[in-house]
Amino acid sequence: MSCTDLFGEGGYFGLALTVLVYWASSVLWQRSGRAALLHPILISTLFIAAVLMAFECSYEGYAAQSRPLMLGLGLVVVLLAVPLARNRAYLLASVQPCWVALAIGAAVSIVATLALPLSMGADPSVIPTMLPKSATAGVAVGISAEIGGVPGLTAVIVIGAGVVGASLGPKVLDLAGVADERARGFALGVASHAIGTARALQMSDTAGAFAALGMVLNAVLTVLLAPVVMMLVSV
Amino acid sequence: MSGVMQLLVAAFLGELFALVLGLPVPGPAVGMSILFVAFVCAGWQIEGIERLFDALAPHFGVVFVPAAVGFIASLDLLAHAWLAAAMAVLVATCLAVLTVGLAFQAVARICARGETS
Repeated sequence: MSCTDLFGEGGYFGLALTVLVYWASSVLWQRSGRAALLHPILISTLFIAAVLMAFECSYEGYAAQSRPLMLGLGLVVVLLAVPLARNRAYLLASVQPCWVALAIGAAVSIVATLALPLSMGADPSVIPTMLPKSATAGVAVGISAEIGGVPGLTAVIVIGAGVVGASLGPKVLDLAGVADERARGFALGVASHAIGTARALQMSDTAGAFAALGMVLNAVLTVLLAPVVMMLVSV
Repeated sequence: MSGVMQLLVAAFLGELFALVLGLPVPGPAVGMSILFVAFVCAGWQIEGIERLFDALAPHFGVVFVPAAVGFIASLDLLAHAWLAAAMAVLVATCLAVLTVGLAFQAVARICARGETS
């Protein structure tokens, strides 16, 4: 059995593998009492990456076979209109906390994303690649290209931010005593876009609605702010 | 219109608008806004698509896995910047979750107190 047998053109092994591994890791996660570091997105990703690397298979073959799931990603985002519509009275009643939390979140996110790598001696050229970190991948990659980053690396960092937020985020919120479902959802959406939103939907419909809102607001804000921050930094 | 049709129509219109108008926001985000407006203002029935959503929502995570596995194709890029990237991702994301959650909860409490008094 070689890589071309398994991940050749027109096959479905990659798709089947992904669904099967995700299902198994979901069962594991439920059994563990939803342990943060066993979140199924994290475990499935690492497992499949390990399989591909162990058999020296390229990512391209696997990606081509998993294409239906990537198309599903777009439909999942469109479907988020459902919790938004269901919770619209709730959303309208929370306009002030949304704006304040979004503004503070964007400020903290930008400062931390700039200050941490630079204080560790990283080259300033990494800034445009890292800056759109919390925006949803489609938006972030576009911004990164526009402000002179490396889009491929931005995509990895964005997905990393999603997985970190989805796995560790709920634990961080527990420790900080954030019990309000709206606040928990909004925080996951702002910091971890669609992956955080998928996690918030596992907490409650209300958390999911606020996560979807936070994700969209943060994406729009990042589009507007990233070029401004780049201008300020390069002066 | 069935729930599946509503979803596909909104997704298609979202891609179309994003493409034709050259919006910086991706098609699915525009599609989500269109679907939301259709429910709230255009009187689209939500029941059919609600059943679809409720059945799928617990399993949404699976669609992110193929894209996430893509990090193995960027390992050589990561070799130069892995420490900075890892720190920014881990610390900045946790900090963002923490501050947004605390700020939202604090402001929500202040607003609730203002309404009751």
